[in-house]
Amino acid sequence: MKRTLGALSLLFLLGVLLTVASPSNGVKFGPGGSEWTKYRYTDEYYIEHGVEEVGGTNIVTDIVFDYRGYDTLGEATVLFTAIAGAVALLRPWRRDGDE
Amino acid sequence: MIPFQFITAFLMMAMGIYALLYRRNLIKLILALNIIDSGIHLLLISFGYRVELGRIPTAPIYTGYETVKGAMVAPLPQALTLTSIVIGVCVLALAMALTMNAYRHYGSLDVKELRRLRG
Repeated sequence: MKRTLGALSLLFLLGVLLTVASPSNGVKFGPGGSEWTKYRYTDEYYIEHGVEEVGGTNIVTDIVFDYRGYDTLGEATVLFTAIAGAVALLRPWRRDGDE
Repeated sequence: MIPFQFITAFLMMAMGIYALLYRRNLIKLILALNIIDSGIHLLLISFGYRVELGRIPTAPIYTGYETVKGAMVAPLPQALTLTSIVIGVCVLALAMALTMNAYRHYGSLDVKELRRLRG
Protein backbone atom coordinates (compact mmCIF):
# COMPACT_ATOMS: atom_id res chain seq x y z
CA MET A 1 0.00 0.00 0.00
CA LYS A 2 0.95 3.59 -0.50
CA ARG A 3 0.59 4.37 3.22
CA THR A 4 2.97 1.62 4.27
CA LEU A 5 5.49 2.99 1.80
CA GLY A 6 4.97 6.44 3.30
CA ALA A 7 5.54 5.17 6.85
CA LEU A 8 8.66 3.29 5.77
CA SER A 9 10.10 6.36 4.04
CA LEU A 10 9.29 8.38 7.16
CA LEU A 11 11.23 5.91 9.32
CA PHE A 12 14.10 6.02 6.82
CA LEU A 13 14.12 9.80 6.91
CA LEU A 14 14.16 9.78 10.72
CA GLY A 15 17.11 7.37 10.72
CA VAL A 16 19.05 9.52 8.27
CA LEU A 17 18.38 12.63 10.36
CA LEU A 18 19.46 10.92 13.58
CA THR A 19 22.63 9.68 11.86
CA VAL A 20 23.45 13.14 10.58
CA ALA A 21 22.81 14.73 13.96
CA SER A 22 24.97 12.34 15.96
CA PRO A 23 28.17 14.06 17.12
CA SER A 24 30.51 11.32 15.88
CA ASN A 25 29.70 11.80 12.20
CA GLY A 26 27.85 15.06 11.85
CA VAL A 27 26.60 18.16 13.58
CA LYS A 28 27.94 18.82 17.04
CA PHE A 29 25.67 20.30 19.67
CA GLY A 30 26.98 23.29 21.58
CA PRO A 31 30.40 23.98 20.06
CA GLY A 32 32.91 25.92 22.13
CA GLY A 33 36.45 27.22 21.92
CA SER A 34 38.16 26.42 18.62
CA GLU A 35 35.06 24.68 17.26
CA TRP A 36 33.11 27.85 17.86
CA THR A 37 35.53 29.96 15.82
CA LYS A 38 35.63 27.27 13.14
CA TYR A 39 31.90 26.65 12.65
CA ARG A 40 30.26 29.86 13.93
CA TYR A 41 32.63 32.58 12.73
CA THR A 42 29.76 34.60 11.23
CA ASP A 43 27.99 34.69 14.59
CA GLU A 44 31.32 35.61 16.20
CA TYR A 45 31.65 38.53 13.77
CA TYR A 46 28.13 39.71 14.59
CA ILE A 47 28.82 39.47 18.33
CA GLU A 48 32.18 41.26 18.07
CA HIS A 49 31.29 44.03 15.63
CA GLY A 50 27.52 44.38 15.98
CA VAL A 51 27.51 47.13 18.54
CA GLU A 52 29.96 49.53 16.86
CA GLU A 53 28.78 48.82 13.32
CA VAL A 54 25.04 49.10 13.90
CA GLY A 55 24.65 50.73 17.28
CA GLY A 56 22.09 48.51 18.95
CA THR A 57 23.06 46.46 21.97
CA ASN A 58 20.72 43.61 21.04
CA ILE A 59 22.59 41.58 18.43
CA VAL A 60 19.49 39.76 17.17
CA THR A 61 17.68 43.00 16.32
CA ASP A 62 20.92 44.29 14.76
CA ILE A 63 20.90 41.28 12.44
CA VAL A 64 17.18 41.38 11.75
CA PHE A 65 16.96 45.08 10.95
CA ASP A 66 20.42 45.98 9.63
CA TYR A 67 22.64 43.13 8.44
CA ARG A 68 19.80 41.10 7.00
CA GLY A 69 17.19 43.78 6.53
CA TYR A 70 16.03 42.41 3.20
CA ASP A 71 14.97 39.22 4.97
CA THR A 72 12.76 41.29 7.23
CA LEU A 73 11.36 43.15 4.22
CA GLY A 74 10.46 39.84 2.60
CA GLU A 75 8.93 38.62 5.85
CA ALA A 76 6.75 41.73 6.03
CA THR A 77 5.75 41.12 2.41
CA VAL A 78 4.79 37.53 3.24
CA LEU A 79 2.73 38.72 6.21
CA PHE A 80 0.98 41.35 4.08
CA THR A 81 0.22 38.81 1.35
CA ALA A 82 -1.14 36.31 3.87
CA ILE A 83 -3.42 38.92 5.43
CA ALA A 84 -4.63 40.05 2.00
CA GLY A 85 -5.26 36.44 0.97
CA ALA A 86 -7.13 35.58 4.17
CA VAL A 87 -9.30 38.69 3.89
CA ALA A 88 -10.03 37.91 0.23
CA LEU A 89 -10.97 34.33 1.12
CA LEU A 90 -13.20 35.26 4.03
CA ARG A 91 -15.22 37.96 2.28
CA PRO A 92 -18.96 37.21 2.04
CA TRP A 93 -19.96 35.17 -0.93
CA ARG A 94 -21.89 36.58 -3.82
CA ARG A 95 -25.44 35.28 -3.85
CA ASP A 96 -26.70 33.51 -6.94
CA GLY A 97 -29.60 35.87 -7.39
CA ASP A 98 -27.31 38.89 -7.76
CA GLU A 99 -25.59 37.64 -10.87
CA MET B 1 25.15 10.49 22.28
CA ILE B 2 22.76 12.47 20.17
CA PRO B 3 21.63 15.51 22.18
CA PHE B 4 18.05 15.33 23.34
CA GLN B 5 17.20 18.68 21.73
CA PHE B 6 17.87 17.22 18.29
CA ILE B 7 15.95 14.05 19.13
CA THR B 8 12.97 16.06 20.34
CA ALA B 9 13.00 18.21 17.21
CA PHE B 10 13.20 15.18 14.93
CA LEU B 11 10.43 13.44 16.83
CA MET B 12 8.21 16.50 16.49
CA MET B 13 8.87 16.63 12.74
CA ALA B 14 8.24 12.86 12.40
CA MET B 15 5.00 13.08 14.40
CA GLY B 16 3.81 15.94 12.22
CA ILE B 17 4.54 14.03 9.01
CA TYR B 18 2.85 10.95 10.47
CA ALA B 19 -0.26 12.97 11.24
CA LEU B 20 -0.17 14.46 7.74
CA LEU B 21 -0.15 10.93 6.33
CA TYR B 22 -2.78 9.28 8.51
CA ARG B 23 -5.19 11.88 9.82
CA ARG B 24 -8.26 12.87 7.80
CA ASN B 25 -9.50 15.99 9.57
CA LEU B 26 -8.34 19.20 7.91
CA ILE B 27 -7.88 21.01 11.23
CA LYS B 28 -5.63 18.22 12.45
CA LEU B 29 -3.60 18.48 9.25
CA ILE B 30 -3.06 22.19 9.91
CA LEU B 31 -2.04 21.38 13.50
CA ALA B 32 0.41 18.81 12.11
CA LEU B 33 1.93 21.46 9.84
CA ASN B 34 2.40 23.70 12.88
CA ILE B 35 4.02 20.90 14.86
CA ILE B 36 6.51 20.32 12.01
CA ASP B 37 7.17 24.06 12.01
CA SER B 38 7.82 24.10 15.77
CA GLY B 39 10.20 21.15 15.45
CA ILE B 40 12.22 22.96 12.82
CA HIS B 41 12.36 26.07 14.99
CA LEU B 42 13.57 24.03 17.96
CA LEU B 43 16.25 22.46 15.78
CA LEU B 44 17.39 25.85 14.46
CA ILE B 45 17.62 27.41 17.92
CA SER B 46 19.48 24.45 19.37
CA PHE B 47 22.04 24.71 16.54
CA GLY B 48 23.05 28.08 17.95
CA TYR B 49 23.78 26.91 21.49
CA ARG B 50 27.33 27.32 22.79
CA VAL B 51 29.21 25.54 25.57
CA GLU B 52 32.36 27.22 26.87
CA LEU B 53 34.20 25.93 29.91
CA GLY B 54 33.53 28.05 32.98
CA ARG B 55 31.30 30.57 31.20
CA ILE B 56 27.52 30.72 31.31
CA PRO B 57 25.77 30.78 27.91
CA THR B 58 23.90 34.09 27.70
CA ALA B 59 21.58 35.75 25.23
CA PRO B 60 23.37 38.00 22.68
CA ILE B 61 22.34 41.25 24.36
CA TYR B 62 24.97 43.70 25.59
CA THR B 63 22.67 45.52 28.02
CA GLY B 64 23.77 44.37 31.46
CA TYR B 65 26.37 42.05 29.98
CA GLU B 66 29.15 43.22 32.33
CA THR B 67 27.56 41.60 35.36
CA VAL B 68 27.49 38.13 33.75
CA LYS B 69 30.49 37.94 31.35
CA GLY B 70 29.04 34.82 29.83
CA ALA B 71 29.53 33.26 26.41
CA MET B 72 27.01 34.68 23.96
CA VAL B 73 25.09 32.06 21.99
CA ALA B 74 24.78 32.40 18.22
CA PRO B 75 22.42 35.24 17.26
CA LEU B 76 21.95 34.24 13.62
CA PRO B 77 19.65 31.19 14.18
CA GLN B 78 17.48 33.33 16.44
CA ALA B 79 17.06 35.92 13.69
CA LEU B 80 16.20 33.23 11.14
CA THR B 81 13.71 31.68 13.56
CA LEU B 82 12.05 35.05 14.08
CA THR B 83 11.42 35.27 10.33
CA SER B 84 10.29 31.66 10.21
CA ILE B 85 7.74 32.06 13.01
CA VAL B 86 6.05 34.90 11.13
CA ILE B 87 5.89 32.82 7.96
CA GLY B 88 4.42 29.93 9.96
CA VAL B 89 1.68 32.17 11.30
CA CYS B 90 0.96 33.37 7.75
CA VAL B 91 0.61 29.80 6.51
CA LEU B 92 -1.65 28.99 9.47
CA ALA B 93 -3.94 31.95 8.75
CA LEU B 94 -4.25 31.13 5.04
CA ALA B 95 -4.86 27.44 5.70
CA MET B 96 -7.53 28.23 8.28
CA ALA B 97 -9.30 30.58 5.85
CA LEU B 98 -9.20 27.91 3.13
CA THR B 99 -10.55 25.34 5.61
CA MET B 100 -13.46 27.58 6.54
CA ASN B 101 -14.28 28.04 2.87
CA ALA B 102 -14.07 24.30 2.28
CA TYR B 103 -16.44 23.64 5.17
CA ARG B 104 -18.92 26.17 3.82
CA HIS B 105 -18.71 24.55 0.40
CA TYR B 106 -18.77 20.86 1.30
CA GLY B 107 -20.22 20.73 4.79
CA SER B 108 -17.41 18.46 5.94
CA LEU B 109 -13.78 18.63 7.00
CA ASP B 110 -12.88 15.08 5.96
CA VAL B 111 -10.26 15.03 3.23
CA LYS B 112 -11.85 11.89 1.78
CA GLU B 113 -15.14 13.76 1.41
CA LEU B 114 -13.42 16.72 -0.24
CA ARG B 115 -12.05 14.77 -3.17
CA ARG B 116 -15.03 15.21 -5.46
CA LEU B 117 -15.03 18.50 -7.29
CA ARG B 118 -18.32 20.34 -7.09
CA GLY B 119 -19.12 23.43 -9.10
